[in-house]
Amino acid sequence: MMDKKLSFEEALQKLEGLVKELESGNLELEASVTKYNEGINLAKYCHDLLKDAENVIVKMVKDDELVDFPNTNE
Amino acid sequence: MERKYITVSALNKYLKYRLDNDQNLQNILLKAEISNYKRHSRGHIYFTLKDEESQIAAVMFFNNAKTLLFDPKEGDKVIVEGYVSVYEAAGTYQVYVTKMSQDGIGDLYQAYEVLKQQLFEKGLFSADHKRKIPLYPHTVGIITSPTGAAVHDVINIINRRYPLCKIIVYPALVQGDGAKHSLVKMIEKANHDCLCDVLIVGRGGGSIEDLWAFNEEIVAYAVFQSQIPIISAVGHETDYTIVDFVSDLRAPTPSGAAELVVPDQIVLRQTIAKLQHKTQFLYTAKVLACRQKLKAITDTTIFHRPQRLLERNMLRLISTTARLEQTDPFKILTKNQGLIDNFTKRLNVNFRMNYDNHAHHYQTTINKLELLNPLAIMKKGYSVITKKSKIVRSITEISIADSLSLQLADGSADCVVKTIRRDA
Repeated sequence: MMDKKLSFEEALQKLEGLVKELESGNLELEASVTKYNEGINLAKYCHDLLKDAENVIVKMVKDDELVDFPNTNE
Repeated sequence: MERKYITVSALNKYLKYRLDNDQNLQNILLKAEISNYKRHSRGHIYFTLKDEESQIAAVMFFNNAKTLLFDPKEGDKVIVEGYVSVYEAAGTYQVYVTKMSQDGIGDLYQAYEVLKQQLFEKGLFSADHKRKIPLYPHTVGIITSPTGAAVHDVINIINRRYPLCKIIVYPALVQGDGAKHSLVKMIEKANHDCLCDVLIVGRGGGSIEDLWAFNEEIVAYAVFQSQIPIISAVGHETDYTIVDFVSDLRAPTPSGAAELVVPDQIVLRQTIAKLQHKTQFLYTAKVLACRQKLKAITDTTIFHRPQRLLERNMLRLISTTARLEQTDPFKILTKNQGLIDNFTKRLNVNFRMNYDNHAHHYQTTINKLELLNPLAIMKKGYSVITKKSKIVRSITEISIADSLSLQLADGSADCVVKTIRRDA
C-alpha cells in the first residue's frame, strides 16, 4: 500500500497503546524510559507524516491501467 | 327557396366559437406520444400528439415552451395540459399546449418503491450486512464520472483533510442507458483490483431520471456484494436512491462523502499533541515517584548513622554473652556446692537445737513426774487407805468395825475401825 515504514494508523495506534501502558502505572522505571522515548518518537513521526504530506496522489483506471488523473485543481 | 351559403371564414369562426365555449375542451390533460416534432426559429414548437389509434396536431408557443424542464424529442411519452381550438387560417383544430412533462416519472416512482420493498425484504438493507468504514484509509476509490464537478470536490476535500491517502478514480457513466452497467462494472473492477480500503459511489445532483442508475437493481446488488465498504453519495441531501439504502454508509452529497471517508488532519494533529503531552506527563510523574521512593529509603537511619545498626547488635552480643556465662557448668557446680554446704550447716544446727530442746523437755517432765509419784509422797509420811480395794477419801465412807487396808511407802497393814471422829 503506502510504504514499508509504519503507516499513520499503525503509528497512532502504537502511540495510544504506549500511553495506556504508561497510564497503568505497572511499568518499571527502565521500561517507562523506553516507552517514553518511543512515544515521543512516534508522536513526532505522526506529526511529520502529516506535515510532510504532499497533495494526495490521484490515479485513474484507464484500459486496466492506472494513469494520472487529469487536471486536479490544486 | 334558395339555401343561404356561408363563407369558409364564417364556418371556421363558428367552429372556433363552438370549441372555445366547450368547457370540456378548454382544460384538458392528455397522455400521448410526440411525433413530427419541429422547433420553430422563434421558439414555438409544433408537433403531433398520438396514441396507437389516433393523432392530433399540437402547438406550444415560446412563452410556454421556455418553461419546459426537458428537451422533448420524437417518441417521448408526455403528459400535456392545454386546450383545443381552431386555427382559422388553416382550418385545423389543434391542441394549444400550456404545460408538458415527461410521462413515466410516476412509473419511475412506483418502480422505485417496488424495488425498495423487494430488496428490503431480501435483507439487502439490513444493518448486519453493513461493513465497517476504515478510520484511516490508505486508498480511497471513487466510482463516478471523471469529468463532473463531484469528483473534483471529493478530491479537493480529501486532499485538504487527509493528504496521507491515495485516490483511485474508477470512471463510470452516471446517467443514461449505459450507466447501470458501467457502475456495476467499476464496482466489480474495484473489488477485483483490491487496491482500495473504501469506495465512494455517486454523482452530483440531477433530476430523478439523471439519478436513476442508482435505483437499478443490478447496481444495488453490486453494492451489496462488494467486499470493499462503500459510501454512497448520490445527488443532493434530499435524494434517496436504492444504492443509499444498500451502501455501508450514506453520505448526503459527494462532498459529504469526502468528509466521512477520511479523518481531518487538524483533529489528528490535536490528538497527537494530546498523546504526546500525556506521554511526557506520565513519564515525568513516574520518574518523580521513583525519586521520592528512593529518597524515602535513603532518608532512613541506617543510611544516615550506620553505627546504630552496630550498637544494637553490640547490645545483643552483651546480653547473649551474659546468658551464656550463666550456663557455665563449673559455676553451676560451685554454686550448688555452696548450697549443699549451707544446707548441711543448717541441718546440723537445727538438729542440735532440736535435740537440746527435747533433752531439756524430757528432764523437766521427769522432774515433774517425780514430784507426782505417790511413793515419793508416802515417803514423806502420807498413806493410802483402801476399803475393799477402793480408795477412801472421806470419813463418811467408813463405818465402825470396817476392815481397811493401810498402804505405806514400804509396806501395808490391815486394820479394824474402833472409833469414828468426824470433824465439824
